[in-house]
Amino acid sequence: MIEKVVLNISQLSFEKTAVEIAAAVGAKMNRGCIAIPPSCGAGRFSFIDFSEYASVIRGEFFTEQQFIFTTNSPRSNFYTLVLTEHTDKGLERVCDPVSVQLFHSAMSNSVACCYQTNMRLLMINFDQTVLREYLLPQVSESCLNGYFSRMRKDHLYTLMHHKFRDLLEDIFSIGSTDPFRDLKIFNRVMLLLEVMMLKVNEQPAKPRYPHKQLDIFQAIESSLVKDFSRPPPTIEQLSLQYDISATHLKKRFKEVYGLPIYEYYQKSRMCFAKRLIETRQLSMKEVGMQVGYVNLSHFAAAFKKEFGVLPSRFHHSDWSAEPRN
Amino acid sequence: MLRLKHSAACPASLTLHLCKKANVPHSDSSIQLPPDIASGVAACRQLRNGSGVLLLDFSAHTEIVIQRKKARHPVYILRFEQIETSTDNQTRSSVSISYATTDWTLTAAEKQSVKCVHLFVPKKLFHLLLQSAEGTTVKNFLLQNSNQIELGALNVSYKKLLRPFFELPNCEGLNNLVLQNRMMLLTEKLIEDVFGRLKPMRQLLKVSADEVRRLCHVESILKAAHHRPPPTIDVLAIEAAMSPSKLKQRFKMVYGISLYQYYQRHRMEKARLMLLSRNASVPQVAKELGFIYPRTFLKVYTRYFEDAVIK
Repeated sequence: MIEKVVLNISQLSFEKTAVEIAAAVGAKMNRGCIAIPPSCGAGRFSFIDFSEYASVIRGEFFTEQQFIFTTNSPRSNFYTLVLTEHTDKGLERVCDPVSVQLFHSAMSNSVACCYQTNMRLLMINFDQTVLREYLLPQVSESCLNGYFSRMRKDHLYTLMHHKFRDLLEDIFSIGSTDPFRDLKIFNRVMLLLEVMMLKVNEQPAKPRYPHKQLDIFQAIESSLVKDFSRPPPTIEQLSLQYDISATHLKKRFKEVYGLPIYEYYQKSRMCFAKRLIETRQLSMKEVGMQVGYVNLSHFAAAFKKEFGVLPSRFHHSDWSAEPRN
Repeated sequence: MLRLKHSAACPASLTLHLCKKANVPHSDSSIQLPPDIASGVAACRQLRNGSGVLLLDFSAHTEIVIQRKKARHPVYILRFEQIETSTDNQTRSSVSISYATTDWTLTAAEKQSVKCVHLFVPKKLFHLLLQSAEGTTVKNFLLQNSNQIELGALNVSYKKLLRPFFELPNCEGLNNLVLQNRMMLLTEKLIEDVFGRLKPMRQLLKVSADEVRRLCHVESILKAAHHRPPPTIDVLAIEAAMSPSKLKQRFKMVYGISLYQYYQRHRMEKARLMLLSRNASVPQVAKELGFIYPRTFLKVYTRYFEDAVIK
């Protein structure tokens, strides 16, 4: 039997939640950091408060327990953005159907993390004033309300995609010893909010899908972009694996993600390559290998096709010559 | 020829000034430059916490000089500039940070196109971002350099962050958030770059805060002496309450160049400003800076500014 740990988020600051997590895994909190002891699993949590504006908790963990975060406090007034993702490469089991969620603290909602899986969890509480100060009222009020009602009524969730994933990767790569850690995390968190609000603001004209089908597509999407060093699964393999006809798969994938399967894969692959190049830590050859190219000129050609510049010229490229989106 | 002298504390007052100068009606945020001066826009945007951004994106049809006179506003100005010459496709770009109390000039000759973003970050906010121990070293480093640091050319990561200022995403309600985020990211990147530059130096630096203060005193003496021969090192050593050899060594550690070089560079920068702003003749400037022969002045000047063609 899996032990469930239910944590109620009722305050803007995650301090209370962090204390509860520490108690649940039997660890001590040290300056906002919790290291999960081996008896309970592995990994760690950390939380940061940004004065009265926002609070962030991030965790990379593997636990035997299941964490469930709930909100239901009518008196509080803040927004919570939750991103979860499992980082196991070969995992075929579909864990959590929804990996990006935004909700208001007064709504009753719950987010369940996977257990016995390597998980990444990022939760952000934004005070209402943040939205009011940064956004025009038409976005912060009407769009959000529309979004919430769609979410409730039609189970129309936001899907994890590469922009979220890139930022998530950034946030988790900021070490606790980084001299400007708080500033960096705060900036990335605001970027996440920006991406999320862009999504919220989009008018969904797409046909709706049963909840279960979306799970399948999320699983397919994450299996595509988890590992670029191996060739992608073929459409036949995917259709067999997820019990869905090939035609149906192709058609629906394009509707949900806006691009055909292979193009989506290629685009994410090139974006990943671009990120690697931007870090300036790897040679072009290594980057090419990391994204699964054996032949470097093929890699260069593919990169140029996507971004309009050769990878070697990338650092000198002009700011107006931006990759097609 | 358009010459704009300003000491604006915020981008809005600068664009207002520009409007008057260029004889164009003033609008809220963005102004279209008249065709006899340049084709393009100058715009300003107010962001949160009192910060603001000035955008210039034009190709000049006549020489344009925007000169900043020092003022005592508590604001840091982060400058990202790119000047492209259309005739020979050469691009010059720079990233720099300065406090409001420093002078600088932006010059665009005819047929050059300018893309620049100036972020005005209030001192209070900027210092808030530099609260950690590492932040304090960055702050001190800025102080030591008279609050002005040049960080070289724009690289791809800066350009990526600057792009949204020129092409906003197609969503009105989110613009503020997008620009605010870019501003914060640019500030972060700049702070990190300054810090990165400091790293190799920090191991060297065993200079106490008190010594730094005394060195700053020496520096101000040197700067004040731009129109006469510099005080001798012995005199400066007494001012700094250090031995001459210690003074020489510490000065070079902190400022990167020797006392005399520092004096000379400051003098030449002064000369450049004079030549640009007052249309003073070369002999006049040479005389004002204490050179007996204009020829010697020219020789020194051209060594500092290779590009300088003195008209």
